[in-house]
Amino acid sequence: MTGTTETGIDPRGPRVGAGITSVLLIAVILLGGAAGLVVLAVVVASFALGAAAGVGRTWQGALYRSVIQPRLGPPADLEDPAPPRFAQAVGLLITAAGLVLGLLGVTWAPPVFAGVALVAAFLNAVFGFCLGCEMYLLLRRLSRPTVA
Amino acid sequence: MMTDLWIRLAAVVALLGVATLGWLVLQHRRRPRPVEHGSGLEVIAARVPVPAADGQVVVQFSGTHCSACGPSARVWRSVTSAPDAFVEVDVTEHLELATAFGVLSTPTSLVFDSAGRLRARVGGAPSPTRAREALSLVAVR
Repeated sequence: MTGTTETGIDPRGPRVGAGITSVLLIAVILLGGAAGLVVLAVVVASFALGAAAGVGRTWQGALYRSVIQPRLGPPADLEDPAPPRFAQAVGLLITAAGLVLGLLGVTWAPPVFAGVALVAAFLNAVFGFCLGCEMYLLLRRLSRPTVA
Repeated sequence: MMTDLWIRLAAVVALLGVATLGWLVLQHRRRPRPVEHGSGLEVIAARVPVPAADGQVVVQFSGTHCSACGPSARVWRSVTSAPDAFVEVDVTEHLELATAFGVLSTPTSLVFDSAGRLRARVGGAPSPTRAREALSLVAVR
């Protein structure tokens, strides 16, 4: 973005957080049933916290700062906290849909929605790829076609 | 019960495999590539201030929710030197420019030669090597 200040968050934090979320989402799929729903509820609550307060204030963020960052040393660059926060909101939407449908008795929904979220979280954690960023402009362009 | 767990495990492995494959295909498709015909830099300069440059001009389309855009801009700034210029266009403010250049995702970077003709296109955040590769695609012509 133009004019972004050099204050921000350690970009490795959200990626580690996405890794932790990936593990939890794999657990949702493997466990299934009531146990899977409980884990999915934890993921939904974490995304809600990240979307409302920012990724730095989630428990994954706290875990990163207290356990992992001291071993890695200071970051080379800082990142704008807004994009990962937006990603948390997208994650919340997807996993909450799975959780609500699961609670309503739609048994296939939790693993399927967890799978969709897992793809996004996994790509973010492993490759630093931001699926939300890719979708954002595409959706904007589809919803408002403009002629240049 | 055990077979059920194996099926779920296989599904997870398959899902992550497909995701990785999709990512690799996308990376391959987004490698720097030369552009034969495209709109000129003047289309962008009409809407966004573009600094005067004697060399190549790199224009990166960035977005508000784009986490890869900051690092990508840093890479471009590190590989472009004095006669070149680097410009960022916010797609949320200039959706019409994104449409004009067929930009579907951020960051997407366009390299213009010194005459203002579009010569190369890079999708996603490039590594310094890829960024230099894109600049050299323009330089050899």
